[in-house]
Amino acid sequence: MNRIPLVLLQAVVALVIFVCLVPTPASALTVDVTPGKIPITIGYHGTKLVVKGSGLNTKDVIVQIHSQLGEEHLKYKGKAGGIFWMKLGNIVFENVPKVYLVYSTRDIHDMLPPKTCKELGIGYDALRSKAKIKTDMKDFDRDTWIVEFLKFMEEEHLYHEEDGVVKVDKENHTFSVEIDWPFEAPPGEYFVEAFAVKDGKVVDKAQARIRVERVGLIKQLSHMAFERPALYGIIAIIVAIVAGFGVGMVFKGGGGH
Amino acid sequence: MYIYLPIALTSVTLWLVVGLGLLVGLLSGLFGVGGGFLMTPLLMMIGIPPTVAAATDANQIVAASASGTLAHWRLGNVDFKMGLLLLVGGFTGGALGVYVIKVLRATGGADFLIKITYVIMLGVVGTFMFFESLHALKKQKAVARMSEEERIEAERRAREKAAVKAKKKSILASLPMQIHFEKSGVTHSAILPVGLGIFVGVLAAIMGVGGGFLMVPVMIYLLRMPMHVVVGTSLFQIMFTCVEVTFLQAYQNHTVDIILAILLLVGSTIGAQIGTKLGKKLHGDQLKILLAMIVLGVTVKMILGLVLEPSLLLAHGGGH
Repeated sequence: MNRIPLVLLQAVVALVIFVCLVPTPASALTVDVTPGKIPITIGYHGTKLVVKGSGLNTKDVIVQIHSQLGEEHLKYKGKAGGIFWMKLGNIVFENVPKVYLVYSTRDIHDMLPPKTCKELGIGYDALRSKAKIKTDMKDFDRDTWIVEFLKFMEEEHLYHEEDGVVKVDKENHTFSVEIDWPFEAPPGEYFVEAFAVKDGKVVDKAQARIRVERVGLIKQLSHMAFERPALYGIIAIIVAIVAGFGVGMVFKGGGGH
Repeated sequence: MYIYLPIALTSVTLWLVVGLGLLVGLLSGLFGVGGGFLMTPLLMMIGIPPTVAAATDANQIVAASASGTLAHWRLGNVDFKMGLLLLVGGFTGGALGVYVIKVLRATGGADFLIKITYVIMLGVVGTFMFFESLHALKKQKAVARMSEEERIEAERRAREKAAVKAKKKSILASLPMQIHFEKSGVTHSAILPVGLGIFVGVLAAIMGVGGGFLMVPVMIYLLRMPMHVVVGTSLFQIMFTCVEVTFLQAYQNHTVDIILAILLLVGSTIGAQIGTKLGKKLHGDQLKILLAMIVLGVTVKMILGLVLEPSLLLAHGGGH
């Protein structure tokens, strides 16, 4: 009777040793963002995001945050009549995210071959190759305008690429990066992806999500502006007239005239 | 302290926006202009999308001009009769201008026309006002230095000049519907202010501004109204125009940001009151020369913006 528990105990010990010795499986990488929900309140000016992950068995990691792919409708500038710089026409960038932020332990180009980056959609090069352009411009150079697009989005704080900022803790197999979330990023759902990189390959990946949403007064005003525009317009006018006359009265009260 | 704007979808520094409002309100009270030609570019510079900047600007001008109109009305500086006739013309011209732009947009080349109209109008108005005011200031100084006989002689010459001018005016005087405007102390045919209102309305709609900076010179130089009445009457007229624009922009384009408008109007209404008081202390020609210099400054900035290569070759749609 005593033999059975002993065998069981031996099996459990063997299993524990096996689990400890065998390398961690690929699915072990995790990623977590705090806060996971970003409320847009009246005093909102972007926020600090902390992206942390565990189960990392490589020295290098890439963290990227992006929105769903969509279209960006813009105007292009050029010289009218050979003298004046002005908006000349429309240009639409298709298959591009509204927000794209990428952070890594070191230069992505030193970590992954371009082909892998393009396949997995990592870095500006991947954006470049995926983006499509529709425009009324005659004889346009695609590469030039893609570069202009990246420049424009960076200026708007919606695109950002930075290396050397993701900190890796080798002992605890964790990584972390602090991100300044731009207030320019519109409400919506965003994807946070972490890629563990070793020997020019992505060996593991994990994903999380962030939700940015309007709350309170901001939500109500935005809703009214789009759903009940006539009422919104009338309120805007009444507020302005009352404020104008109100200040006028106050100044009279002060003995100005 | 930051404030998030629900329609502009951007965050701004509270004091910066209130300060902008104060500055533009001050100009509004001083000169009777809505300040749209200054505020919209300034808002765009702090990151407000052009369409939201233009629409919200109209909303805050309602407040600034209401505050200014009240202050000027108390001082007896609003010619309501003239203001209403200009308004009738302005509304008609505005509708006509919107139609012209629609046709031009369909055929292309509207943006070019808008920019060029802006630069030419601002340049012509600014230059004319500047030299006219400079001439008037010089004349005053010369009169102050004259002896009694010289002064009598100069007055006689001025009377002769006025008589010649009156002769020229007889064509205008022969127009029907002559009305005496007691407040302004002038007599014109009703057709004149309505016609000029239409002209300014068309240009204002093409340029996407309230038209105060065009209306003021029209009142001074064509309707021969005294400067203090011009400012009050112009503000009265602007208030109504901007009420119409605010409603249309909110209803059709959803581009009025009420939070931004409130921040701006806090500054602009106070600025308008200060401007009105300051205006009383400054001489009419000094005021005109100041306005002329601001208008010319904006013109130069616009020309540079047109001629120099921009750092970004892409932009959001809307605005100028």
